[in-house]
Amino acid sequence: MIDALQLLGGALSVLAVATMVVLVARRVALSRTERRRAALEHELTPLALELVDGEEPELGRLSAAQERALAAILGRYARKLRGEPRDRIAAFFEERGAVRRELGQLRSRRSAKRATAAFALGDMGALSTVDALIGALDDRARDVRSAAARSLGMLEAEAAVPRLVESLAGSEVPRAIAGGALLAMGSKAAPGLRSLLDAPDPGVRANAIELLGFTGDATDADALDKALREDHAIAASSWGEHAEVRAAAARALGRIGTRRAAAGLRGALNDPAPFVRTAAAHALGRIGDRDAFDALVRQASDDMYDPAQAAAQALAAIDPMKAMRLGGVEGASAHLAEAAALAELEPA
Amino acid sequence: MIRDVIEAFGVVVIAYFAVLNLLYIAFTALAWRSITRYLHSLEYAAIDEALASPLTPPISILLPGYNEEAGIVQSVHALLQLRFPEFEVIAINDGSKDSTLQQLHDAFDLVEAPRALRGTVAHAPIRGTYRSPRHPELLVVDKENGGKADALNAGVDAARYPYVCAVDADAIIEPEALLRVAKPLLDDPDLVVATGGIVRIANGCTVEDGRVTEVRLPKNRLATLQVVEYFRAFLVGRVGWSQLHALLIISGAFGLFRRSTVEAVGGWDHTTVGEDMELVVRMHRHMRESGQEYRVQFVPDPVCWTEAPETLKVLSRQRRRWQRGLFETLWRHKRMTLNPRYGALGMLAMPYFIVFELLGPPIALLGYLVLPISWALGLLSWPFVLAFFVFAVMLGQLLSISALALEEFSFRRHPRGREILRMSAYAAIENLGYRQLTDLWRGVAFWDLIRGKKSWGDMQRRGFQTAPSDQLSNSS
Repeated sequence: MIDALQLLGGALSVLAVATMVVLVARRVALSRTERRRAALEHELTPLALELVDGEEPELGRLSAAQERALAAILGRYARKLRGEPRDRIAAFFEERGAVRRELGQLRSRRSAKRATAAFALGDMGALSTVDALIGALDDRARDVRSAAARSLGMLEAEAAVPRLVESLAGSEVPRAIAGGALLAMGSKAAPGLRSLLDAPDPGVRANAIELLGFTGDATDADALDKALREDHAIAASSWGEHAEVRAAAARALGRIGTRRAAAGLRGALNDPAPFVRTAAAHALGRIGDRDAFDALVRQASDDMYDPAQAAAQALAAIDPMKAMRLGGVEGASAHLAEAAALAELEPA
Repeated sequence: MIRDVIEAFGVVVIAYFAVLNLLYIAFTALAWRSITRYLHSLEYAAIDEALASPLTPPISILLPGYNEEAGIVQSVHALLQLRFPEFEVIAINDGSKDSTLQQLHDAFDLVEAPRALRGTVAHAPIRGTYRSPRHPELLVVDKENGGKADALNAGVDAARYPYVCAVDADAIIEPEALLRVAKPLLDDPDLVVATGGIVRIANGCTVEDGRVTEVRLPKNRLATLQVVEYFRAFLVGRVGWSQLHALLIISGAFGLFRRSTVEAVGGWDHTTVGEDMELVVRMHRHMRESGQEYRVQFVPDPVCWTEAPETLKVLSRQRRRWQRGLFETLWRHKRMTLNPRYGALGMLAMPYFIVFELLGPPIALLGYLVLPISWALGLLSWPFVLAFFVFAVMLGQLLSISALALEEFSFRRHPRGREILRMSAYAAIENLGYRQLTDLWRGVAFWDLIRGKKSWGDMQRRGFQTAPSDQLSNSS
């Protein structure tokens, strides 16, 4: 027993020392690699800039390390560029066979490789990869789906909008990534989002409406107003489920900023779902609807905390002087008093 | 008879040692797997895109402070500069006797501005609320003294947003830490009720304008030992428990919570010194008992820096307090222990914390006491004791060094190569004296409990001024 313990103790100490040696050696190796990479990037940056500027530099024969360094620089540039410079980067990657290689990796058995490939394809910017990336949204690994979603956003792939919204609504891809991808497309996402306003799944509809608030324009006001009132057309039993759609429509109308749907928003101040009333109050504040003032005063005085606070903020935004007077009266509700303080701090 | 008892005790101690170390090894393996996956997923997390995204849920940051005149302004400035799409900072002056409130007034040109309160959690009366015309996202709450938990509750009461992030006034939060700790909320907003991040030791680091600008090991030996200890506790322990969906502790220095769940459980409890752990356990209990699906998640990446005690006196006070907090929480929620209704929490985490974290130190102390008695009775085989001791120390060293390796293969926050060697040396020597000393302090905590020392009173008496207020244990 004693011998065994001594032996094990010795083995553990050897293992501990070996681990320490590995740690130190690895740190030295990493520093060396980092120095080499930095030197290569420094050397290749002028070449990359010429390529992006369309000067058709003579690339010649690049070593594997140089090829990797150049790809890394161009990948970083691609994240910030649009238009022709971006197309040139895509053409570079296609010509060098990198796009083909990554598409092959997208079929790898290892999810880490598939995810890396899906991510890299977004940086390469080749539109020919859109179909493959849409297919990757069905991958069994969440990392791969996330990387594909992010890349589709970078490629501004309008064709991917419906599938991205479904992924978002079904939590197949994290909300931040799928939503971020759709927002990255900007107004190019709007047509695809509009096509989903009649989708049967309320989750898909709510997400499409929410995003349309960021990417759409005043012409969407009527459709959003319809979504705000869609409760009239549905059975009372499923009314609650559709509250998210109404709240999203209210927020979207507030962001678009059109007064065409102000009447609908004022109506939504009576919605039974508190978060719809909250969203409607915020929206009315954003569009500065003076006709809603009295209803907002009532909401700030009598409603639950969140809708009342939203109403207070809206009052301060719509008519700061009047909000100050109302909130300064003795016996005014806490939210009205807050509205007065807000108005005093942030006069319109 | 005595001989039989001592022999039986020896067998128990060896079995205890074997189980504990097998668990440590399992946790180390779990942590390696989890952190590797996390780092890989981070490449596709699109943190930068999320940063700019208006879809990210807004957060209310709660900064309770008592007699923090020296650093409160810098803390608020640092929080206002965090990278996050939408947030508010609620600084709560917990009835400070110094010029904390005046410092805030002067620095931010505060004006009195009433704030409607939710009325969902109880706390000591609020004397006034103030806002800054230059920083509309700042709210200062001035209240009567009630302790840190009470101040946090006042913050929840005034919070506007659906998530609250509790931050210690003396903690330094990295600019992207909030975004990273919120990543699980972005991924699974319907599921995640609380997340926490890693706490690191700022002693030795260069701090400018409330930010750590250069990471270095402390010069003080006691603080350096705690650096290695924190690696083991956070990178191994918390990552492991989080993987098992049984994370009992989120550091009070930096934790993010769904506000509605905090409200549903009544907020932080001001009658315990371990209010951070107690809240998390209560949230678990509430979610399990109401049959809701949920997650309490540890994110190994977001960094909160805090200063560690550099004297034995302060460190001893801190550890005794943590141990009392642990006891209070485990005692209050004893019904959860070995109760299958609470899943891995009741069947694994609670028994582990009782057997190894709570009772571990007294058992170790008993062992040291039994050793000379055994020797006096002629029961001791010195070669065996020596071989066992060497084996135990070597195993401890290997586990500490593997935690250090985990840090080195993942986040590598200490850029200086020679510091790896220094940390390795400390990982080796912490098993020779330091651990025994912390066991002693934690054992003494039972004496504190018997004496009825139940709380730290107001926030001024929190051990070391800049120490984290959460429980740290070998595997917590």
